[in-house]
Amino acid sequence: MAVAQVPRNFKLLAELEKGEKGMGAGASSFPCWRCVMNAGLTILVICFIRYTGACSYGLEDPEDILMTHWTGTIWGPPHGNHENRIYELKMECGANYPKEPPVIHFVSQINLPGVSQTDGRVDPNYVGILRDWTRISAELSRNPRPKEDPLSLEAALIAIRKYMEEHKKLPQPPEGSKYPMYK
Amino acid sequence: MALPKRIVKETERLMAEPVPGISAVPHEDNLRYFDVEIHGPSQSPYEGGVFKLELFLPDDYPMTPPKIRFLTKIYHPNVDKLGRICLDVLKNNWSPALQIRTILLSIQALLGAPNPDDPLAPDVAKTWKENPSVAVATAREWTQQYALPSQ
Repeated sequence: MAVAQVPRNFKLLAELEKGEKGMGAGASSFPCWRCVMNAGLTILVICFIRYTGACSYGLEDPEDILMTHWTGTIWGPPHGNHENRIYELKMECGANYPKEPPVIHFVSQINLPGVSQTDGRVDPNYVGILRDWTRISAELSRNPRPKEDPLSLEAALIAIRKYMEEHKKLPQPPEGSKYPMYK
Repeated sequence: MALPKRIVKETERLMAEPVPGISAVPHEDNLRYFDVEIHGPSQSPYEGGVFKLELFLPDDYPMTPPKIRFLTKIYHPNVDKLGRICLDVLKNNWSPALQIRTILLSIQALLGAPNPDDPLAPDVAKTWKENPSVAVATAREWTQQYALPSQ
């Protein structure tokens, strides 16, 4: 049975609707039993994160009919220097999205290998899903999997959060600082 | 990838007997994805405008309705800022007996008869109910500004 190739705009509309419903997840790393054991307060925090999602995203301008510019938020992964921090990101979906990956920048300053210290740009080679995006997308157009959507802005944010978790011990710039062009 | 017969038939008919004031042309590289143009109905504030839309027939069409939205900016209580349309036949009242053709006619009819009681753009609907002459003037203005046919 032939499977339909969803055009860029309708895929992005679906992503937007999912994001608006607050389904931005990343909840796979929860529940974190160590936290649950530790303190009641932490339980509250976890509930909050599980409720809001560890990542969220939306259109930068709600009237952007081409849906090119997006903002993303990552709730810093626990047990390290990202804990309790909120990271702001910008994502750009070009005309060839989702064949080509979104271009992602951190707006919030972060010390992370593969993130430019001048403008926060995320080097796709450092994050698996972004590095392999074009290949996966080509594979999907040959063998579509209609029930799942492995390539999305949400998936990219979740992957970046996971990558942050791998580098949770790195010292970080002061909380709330931004790259110069976003000040 | 074979296209279901139903879609082939509908496309052929759209091409052979086009609906007056409406065109729908499939993309060469995706025959489920159509570029649509709808002419604003006469006697409506959208008269003279040519509105571009995009339409996509999902996998389970015709069991589920086509996805469709405006690409041309339009001031209408049932169309939101991203061009999404609030229309019963695109949602709960969809039936596989309906077609691309009937959906496009319904949208053209919606342009002629805005329904501010079932709004998707609450601010537009509010103006439409409280101050219809202002709303109609704005709709006309936007048509002139965004929907004039290209040469």
